[in-house]
Amino acid sequence: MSLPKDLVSGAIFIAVAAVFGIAAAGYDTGTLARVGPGLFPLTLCALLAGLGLAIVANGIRKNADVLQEIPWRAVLLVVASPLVFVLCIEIGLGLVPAAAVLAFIGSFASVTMTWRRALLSGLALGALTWLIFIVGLGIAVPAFGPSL
Amino acid sequence: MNAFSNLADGFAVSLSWLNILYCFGGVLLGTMIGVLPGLGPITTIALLLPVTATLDPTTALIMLAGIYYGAQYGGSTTSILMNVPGESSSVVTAIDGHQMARKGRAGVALAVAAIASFVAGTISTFFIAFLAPRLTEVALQFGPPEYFSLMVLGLVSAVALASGSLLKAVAMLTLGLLLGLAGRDMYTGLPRFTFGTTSLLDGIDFVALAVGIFGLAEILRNLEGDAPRHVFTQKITSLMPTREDFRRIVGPVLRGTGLGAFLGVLPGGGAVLSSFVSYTLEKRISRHPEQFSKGAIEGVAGPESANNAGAQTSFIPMLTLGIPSNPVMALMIGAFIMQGIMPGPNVISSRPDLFWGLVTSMWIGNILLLVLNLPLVGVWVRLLSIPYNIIVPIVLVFSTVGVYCTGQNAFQVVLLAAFAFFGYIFVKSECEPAPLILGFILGPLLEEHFRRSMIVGRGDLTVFFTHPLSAVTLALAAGMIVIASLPQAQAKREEVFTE
Repeated sequence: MSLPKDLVSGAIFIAVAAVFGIAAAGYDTGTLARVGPGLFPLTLCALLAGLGLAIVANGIRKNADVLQEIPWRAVLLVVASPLVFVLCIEIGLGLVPAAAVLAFIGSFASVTMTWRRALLSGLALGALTWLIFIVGLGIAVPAFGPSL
Repeated sequence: MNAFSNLADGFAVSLSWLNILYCFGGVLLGTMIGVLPGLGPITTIALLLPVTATLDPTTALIMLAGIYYGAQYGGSTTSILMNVPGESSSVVTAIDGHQMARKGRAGVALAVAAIASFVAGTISTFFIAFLAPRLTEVALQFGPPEYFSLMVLGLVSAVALASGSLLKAVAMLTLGLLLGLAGRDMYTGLPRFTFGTTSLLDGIDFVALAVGIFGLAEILRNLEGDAPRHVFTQKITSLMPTREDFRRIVGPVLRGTGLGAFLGVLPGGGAVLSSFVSYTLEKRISRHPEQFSKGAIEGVAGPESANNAGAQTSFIPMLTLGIPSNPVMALMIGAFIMQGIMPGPNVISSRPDLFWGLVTSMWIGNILLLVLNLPLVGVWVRLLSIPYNIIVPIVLVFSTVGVYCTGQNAFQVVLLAAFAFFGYIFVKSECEPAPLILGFILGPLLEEHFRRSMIVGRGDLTVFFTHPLSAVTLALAAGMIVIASLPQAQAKREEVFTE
């Protein structure tokens, strides 16, 4: 699958402008003498949409430069592991186990990772999290177990 | 008020044991992380922001500043030893620095970089001490229209100086401005762009954005070529530059410092631009331009002093006006806001301890860098050989746990994941992330000053042109847009950034 760079980025800009624009449509723009909360956001959305379109148009006009190979495995793991961390926190495992799980899963983002190393890095980083964030910085988050 | 008594007061703060300790810690951590491949100052600061959140504001900022020049120096080390610039401001150092290393003069190159940085750091500390109070006095006269126009100029220059497509840079900037508006509107209390969740009432966490876009996305980029790296294995023998070396670096260091100190103050300036300009200048005036890119010591000394001076004086607009001239300063403003302090001309009078403590700590940080780096070169070299698959989980854990701990808001971690993904896609499609983070920080400020200007001008847009200073600033901004969009300038930009 090869996607032209300009189309991908342009599409993201247009999508964001659309989503934010729909949300901002309900905000009061006010008048220039009394600027409402909607004026700035709507102006920016319009600008972003215009820029997005221009970038897409550029991409169609020019010989398209395509996105290089994306390491999907790494992308998936790096994006998913913080989400797994959130899940661990939400089910009440506590900060340290959640960090250990995060490190373990995230380790596999690198194709050269071995099970043994991943396990070790999970344990070591769990311990480090406890040492830095709980002991060192005294963050008021339960290290183990659910929050009250 | 005179500069010396201010400096003395500042040293009283920055020389307290606690602050020296944190300055040292910052410099050490900054260098350590900056040396690791692919982790530049922006990433390093973003990663360590949560750690400083619990400290006293002065100490936190002293530590962050230490992390900044530490990371910068760390970047130079990798440039010289591995030809892998940790960040854009040491790209130029890599050219001649690495050639020196290959000729067996790695130690000298590292020492020259450290000495050049130190001299530049010392001079620019005094420069800040003299210039900042003057600028503050001027800044106190500014009204909302002046601020609005200054911010526009800052944003325009950031875009004009970004590498790659101008269109994409403006789009990234707009996206940043938009993201910055999320949260409760400060005038009406209306929740904007919260999409129904209470987790976004306070807006998007700036740490989540910075860490996602600069930390995790960077990790992904480094994972592309996921293979064992070539490491410089030669033993570093002599650190001491010869008398001849010293004679050759005096000029470049002083010129580099001057250039850097000047360019650092300008919006959009800072370390990167300074180092490029210094290199070009040294090459042009050198009697042996043919030695450049073959290991000319001037090619290390000039840019290294310029980037350090620029890095330091870019604190001036941030501290006096509250306007970031580059992404690192945007992060610093974020750190100020996290500490509940709004950077601007009032900081110097309302928190003189913080202001002068921070300024003087820069000099102390530079001394610490000098004494830390040269003896520890061996340790840094060993850090370079840490396999990337160990760095990945460390950065992941620090980013995620750090973001979670700053607000104890799990939703921000979800945002972090999203920013990592989109940040990476943006990098892949040649959209530079720097304008986005600047926009994010300046979004709410820009809107606030616009709305205030409209109140001052009773809804008349000409208020931006009837205030002389505002008019001049906007004219400058317009000039920059025109110049940046000229075809010749576009070609020149590409040339400079690909060189």
